[in-house]
This record gives sequence, structure tokens and C-alpha cells, in this order.
Amino acid sequence: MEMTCTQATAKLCELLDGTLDDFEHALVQTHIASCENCATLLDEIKRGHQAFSEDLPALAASISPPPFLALKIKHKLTHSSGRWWQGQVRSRVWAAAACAVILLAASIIFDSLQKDRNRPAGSPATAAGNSIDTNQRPIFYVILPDDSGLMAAPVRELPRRTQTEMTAADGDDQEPQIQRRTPQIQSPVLVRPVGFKQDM
Amino acid sequence: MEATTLPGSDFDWIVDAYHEKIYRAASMLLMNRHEAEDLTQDVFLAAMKSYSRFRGDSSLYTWLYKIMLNLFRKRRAKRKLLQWSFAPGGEKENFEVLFSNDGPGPEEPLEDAERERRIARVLNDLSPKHREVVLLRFYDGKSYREIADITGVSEGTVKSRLHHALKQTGGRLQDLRPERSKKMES
Repeated sequence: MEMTCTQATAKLCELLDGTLDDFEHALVQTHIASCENCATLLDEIKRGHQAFSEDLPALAASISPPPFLALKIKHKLTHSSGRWWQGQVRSRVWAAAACAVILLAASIIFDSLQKDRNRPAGSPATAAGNSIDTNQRPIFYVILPDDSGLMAAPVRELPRRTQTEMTAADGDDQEPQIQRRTPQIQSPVLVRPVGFKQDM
Repeated sequence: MEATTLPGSDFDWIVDAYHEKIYRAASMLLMNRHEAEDLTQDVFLAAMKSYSRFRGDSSLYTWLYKIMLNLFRKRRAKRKLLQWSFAPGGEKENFEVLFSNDGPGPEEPLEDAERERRIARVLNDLSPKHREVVLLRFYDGKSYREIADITGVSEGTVKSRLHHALKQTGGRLQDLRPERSKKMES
């Protein structure tokens, strides 16, 4: 069994390291003995190997660290670790502040939505103190989403009296009770009275 | 050892134990003492910040060496852009800086100093990839497998790079070291 040049040259470094087993060692040596090119290449590599093996440790030994290098490094580490902790604390404080702001905004929005929902139908959404005159009929508008193309569209006029029982109070002849119920408006978004119309 | 992020003062023993070795490796990798000092400081800084990720699979020195190689590669990539635009080939004489601080000491024979200068010149002629492999093999005495692990390439690539580096060096040294070559041939 013989080695090719490619196989032999791939093993040259290991040959110089002495890490080849006996069989491979013998094969490479046999090939080199019979191949002038590979023998020349082995010489070149051997020169480089020997130079690095002998002179590189000497070069490394001749390089001495600058004075106080260890102290400089330690000083830098101490400063850096302090800054690192400060950075950690600062970022956590900012995160907590951001969370607080978000929670506050969410609670305000939720609260206003709840107020809108709990308001009885027909009651005004204006500021406190506004009262409904029973002679006035609220005109309701439904506010649609922007993409509907309609910013506001009238829905219907509610009856003058809502969810009340009307009875004839005068006279002995009592009329049967008439129950008038407010039709339930299924509003897609929000129903809000925006004004009142006088009865004709 | 429990793997945690160490505050600066607790990291001192690692600095004491490894700063010289890392500095020497950085000097030969960069071929520049001043930059090696910066790189050494950066290595320990990065090591302290990422100490929690050290699993103890390798030795502490190997881990530090990996950090150094990563930082070295980043630094080289940055500098490559600058050098290409301002001074192509500017790295060629960097090895002179390696010896800029001190010449041969009074007790050091002139021949030894000359040999060191010669090997530094040869090392400087190698590409950074080949230099990495050569240093790990001949300065740190790592095996091919360890070199492959540290440099992040296959074992075959390590052998190929080493082969190329030794061949290039052998050819270069033929003129520089005639006596030794003759001795070796005989």
C-alpha cells in the first residue's frame, strides 16, 4: 500500500508533531523517500516547525507586560462594575415609571368607559346640573367609527317619556295603564345625547 | 465554582493569574504592544460581564483566549475598513512596534535578540487566521481539536492552515537562517 502526494503532504505536520501511529509514519516516510517534491516540502515545513517551536516561546518570554497593567485592569473593572450596577438600577426605575404611567392611563380610560355604560338611557352626558325637561325630547346620535365614512348619523328620536308608566290621574274614570317602553337601541359604538328638541 | 457575575474586586485573582499570558498572546496576535494593552483590558472587562455564561467546559484560560480572539476579530474588521480607505498595507511594519519599547537587554545575547526579531517578522507576514493557529499550537501548545474549538473551525481547516503557515515560514526562513538550515539538512 502506497500513499499519494496529497495524502502524504496532509500528514506532514502530524509527522513532525510525532502524533502519527507507526503504520502511518512508515507509509509517509516511504513516500517521502521516493518523492523529491514531498521531501522538499517536508524540509520547508520542518524549518518553519523548528523555528516556531524554538523561537516563539523565546519571543513570548521577551515580551513583558507594561508596569501596573494588572492594576489598570482592576481599576477599570471596579469602575465598570459600579457603572454596570448603576445602569441596571436606572433602567429598572425607568421601567417601573413607564408601567405606572401606562396603568394610570388605562385606569382613566376604563373609568370613563364605565361611566358611559352605567348612565341610564336617555340621560344626558353633559356636565352635572343639566336636567331633562320632560317636554324636551333628546335626539340621539350614534357615533360611528372613522372608517365607516359617516362621522355621525341620527338614529331615532326617543319617546318623550321612557320606561314609565303613564296613568290618568284626573277624574274617577281611570284609563287602563299604558306601558310604554323605550325601544332598546343596539348601539355599535356609543350613544350619546347631543341636544334636545322642543315638543311642537 | 458558582457561575455568577462577579463584582470587580472578586475578579482580581483571575486578573492576577492570567493577565500576563493574555497580554503576551495579544501582543503576538496584534504585533503591537500598545494595542495589546487595550485588548487585554477589554478581554477582562468582557469576561467579567459575561462570567455568568462561563459553564466551566474549558479551562478559564481557554475561555479568556476565546474572548480575546472574538475581540481581536471585531477590532480587525473595524480597522480593515479604515486601513483600506486610508493606508492599504499599513499592518506590514507593525512588528516593529512590538520591539519599540526595549531593545535587547544587557544580559541578552545579540543573536537571541536577532532570532526574536526574525521570528516576529515571519509571524507578522502571516495572515491573522494563520497567526491565530500558529500561536495556539506553538505558544499555548494546544492540540488540533482544542484549536478547532477555540477558533471555531474544523480540525481539517486547522491542519490546513498550520500546513500553509509552516510552509510559508519555512520558505521565508531559508534566507534568514542559513546556518540552522544547513545543520538540519545534515
